Amino acid sequence: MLMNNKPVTICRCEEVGNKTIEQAIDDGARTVDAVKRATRAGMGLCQGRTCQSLVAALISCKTGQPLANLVPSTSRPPFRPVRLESLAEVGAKLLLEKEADKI
Amino acid sequence: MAEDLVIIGSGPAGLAAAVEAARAGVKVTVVDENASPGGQLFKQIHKFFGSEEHQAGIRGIDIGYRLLEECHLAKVKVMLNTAAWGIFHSSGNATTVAIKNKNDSLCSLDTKVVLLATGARENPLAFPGWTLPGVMGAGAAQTLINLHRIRPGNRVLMIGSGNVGLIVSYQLKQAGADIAAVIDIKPEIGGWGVHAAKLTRTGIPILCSHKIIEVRGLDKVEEAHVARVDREAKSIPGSEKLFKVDTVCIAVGLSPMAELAWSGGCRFAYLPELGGHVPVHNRSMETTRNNIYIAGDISGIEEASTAMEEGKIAGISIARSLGLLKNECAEELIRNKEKNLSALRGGPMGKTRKLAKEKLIRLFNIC
Amino acid sequence: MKKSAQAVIIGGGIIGCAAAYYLAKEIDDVILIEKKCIAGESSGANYGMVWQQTRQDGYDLAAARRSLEIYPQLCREVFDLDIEYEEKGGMTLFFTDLQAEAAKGYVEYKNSLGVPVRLLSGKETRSLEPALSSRVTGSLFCAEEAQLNPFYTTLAFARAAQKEGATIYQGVEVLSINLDRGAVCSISTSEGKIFTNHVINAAGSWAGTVGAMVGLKVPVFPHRLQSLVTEQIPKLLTRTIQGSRIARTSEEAAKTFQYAYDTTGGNRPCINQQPPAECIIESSLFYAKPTVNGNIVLGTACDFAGYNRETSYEALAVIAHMAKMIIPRLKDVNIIRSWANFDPWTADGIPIVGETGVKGFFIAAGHGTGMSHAPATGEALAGLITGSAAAIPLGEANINRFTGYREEC
Repeated sequence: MLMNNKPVTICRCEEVGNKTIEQAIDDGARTVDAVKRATRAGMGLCQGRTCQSLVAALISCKTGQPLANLVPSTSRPPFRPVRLESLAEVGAKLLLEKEADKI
Repeated sequence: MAEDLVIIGSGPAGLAAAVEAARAGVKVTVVDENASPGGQLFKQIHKFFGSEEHQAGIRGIDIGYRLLEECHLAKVKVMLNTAAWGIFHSSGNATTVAIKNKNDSLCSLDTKVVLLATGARENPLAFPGWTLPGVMGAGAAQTLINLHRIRPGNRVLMIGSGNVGLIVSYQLKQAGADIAAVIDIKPEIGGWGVHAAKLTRTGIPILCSHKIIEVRGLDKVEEAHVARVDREAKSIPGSEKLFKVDTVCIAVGLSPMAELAWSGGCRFAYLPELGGHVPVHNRSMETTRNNIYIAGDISGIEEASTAMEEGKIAGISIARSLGLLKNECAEELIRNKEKNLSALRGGPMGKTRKLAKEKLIRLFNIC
Repeated sequence: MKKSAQAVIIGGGIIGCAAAYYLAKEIDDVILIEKKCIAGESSGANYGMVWQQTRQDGYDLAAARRSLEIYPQLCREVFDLDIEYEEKGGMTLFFTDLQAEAAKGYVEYKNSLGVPVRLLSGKETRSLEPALSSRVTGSLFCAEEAQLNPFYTTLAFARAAQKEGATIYQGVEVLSINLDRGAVCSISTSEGKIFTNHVINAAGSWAGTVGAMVGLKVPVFPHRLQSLVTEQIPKLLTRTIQGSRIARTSEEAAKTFQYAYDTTGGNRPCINQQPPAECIIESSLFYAKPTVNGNIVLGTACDFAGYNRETSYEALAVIAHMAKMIIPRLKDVNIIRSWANFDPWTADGIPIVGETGVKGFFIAAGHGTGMSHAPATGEALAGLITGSAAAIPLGEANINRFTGYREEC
């Protein structure tokens, strides 16, 4: 998926380049999740929705692992950014319902 | 519990499912993060192919309007500007769908059944300069021209000669842009001949066995460097071509948008013919997680027409699982839709998908 | 895969990686086996706290203090990547005057153990952390505490271990541990068999599964902690803070700091003790960790849900509510992710470290405080195995403190 030896940005949110990711793979990262933990690729605002397939392709290319084994890192909500206050309102309501509003 | 069925995504699969389920008496709510329903249908100003049964000759946008009207008549609740940001297992067998509206206020829908009809996303392609303004997905370009009436640029290089690349190139041309070329790394054109012929008739070159080397520009796209490739997809020295363009569109395939299914704990299978990792489902479109159904591109990249048939199967199956349709009746309806699907999955490309879809269903029963 | 080793460590979390490093310094042929990836579980999802103010007297505190001593040296001399270690002090907030009262006795007690913790007024607290709400009536502050990046620290230990000659296998699962006349002789993995006389169970929340392979009950349970992660924002907090449970009565207030005393009251925990069944989301402590990148990690909601690693709607919402109450300026910040991990839990809150009734089988697991303990634990364990002098005594952390342990052997 990569075109030549010039440095290329892979994770746009966290500005992680292919060289950094290749280094992490050389250092032993074998899964999309391991690369993420080592480099922050996929930790930004879009949570890897764009770069994870590129990371998977890089790992596959460098290690020969089939793409089938390279699943995305753990999917976690929120799948769209949510404002903390909006979520807090839900929490306050839930706690009130439980009559346990302690703070 | 508030809802029988919450459908995430109001594209062709979601709306078709909503209509079928609601007609059988299911209480349906459809949520979609976009301002208008219909998913990709409203970007599709071209006429569909196929048989009459599959609305051939009708433009995508008109199919969308027809579905919306049917939803309205069947009293389906459609919540727009509403993004589903999580699905959570709540007490019993229920699912909580966490949603946020345009003003960022949050609430949740507790439902017996969830149908994920979230569609697909465009695959990225990384090359030097791909982060420059002016490089975009072909789907994004299509949204700009057909939905927002904005032409993204004046001179475009299209990467990828699949149907999306071909159709969007033609539509960009209709919107007044010049298409410098359509390139594809593969030795032959990926999309249908009719679409390719429309382009070549207007003099747009389609360069197979070519790949993008680099996009350059100071703070936006100014030129794209392309080279011919050999059989191993390596660029051939001396074959470089330079295109002066201000826009580069990427149309290198789609992947199922399946985060919600991953987080819901559904089992996946890797089937490249269907776009990569796809949730495994059974004949009823139910995933390995009880009461989570899927339909449309999330269950494998196909087309709007197959998405609608799958949506109908999901809608009917859900109505049956809720006790609102007798088994024999549902079975007959489903067999009918399966016949339609089979017809839609004709031709060499359709056949590959058909086999892959059959494999996906077989995998459901293998643990 | 190698066919033999002097020692095999099971688990690529911070404890396993630290143990691998210290062991590899002393002996040849150390192998670490990790079923997922380095820092793939709890070591990759926590608040990165190296604290002493909340540690119990005895092994728990000694290990934390020893680690605070070692980390700066590791950063200077050993680690080849920046673990973002910052000694900015740690802060425990409270919210009522009754708690401030209760804190006085706690400070005296901790000072007597040599922990330089101080009591700050609400005003003093806010002069250090201006973003805190006026609900905060005071805090306990300990300057000699640090925070770090848990991923990088675990990776740094792994790389240091490799440099010392250790071999790390990721994506490899241990299937069985084989005994010969009651002593460890080999382990079978998904990639083959390794002959060894020393196996270290550093499997964190999975320590029970590994223990069962040699017929031992290892009472470590997965304590699910959930957290939120904010988008990157300009600096709002300087240091990691912990919020105590709210207390409205003097009885409750007296319990505010109970978790950091010896909670067993001198009674030994039981090997068959199960974690509490009730959901304790409402009574969970609050945490806010500002990361170097500008994200803030907010927690927590704790419960016991087996190995279910999903996050729950209710828990995420309650954390957001706590965060808004304590740090009001967070209200307009976006949440971009949540996570759940399995913090290893033991009945008395103290990890299990040391030898066992099975010759050659060692345990270093049950660390709800892995970041605070790792260097000291790794060092002490290596000392135990190689027979060199221990910097901290391991006796209190041995599994034999659990009543009923003998019968299990």
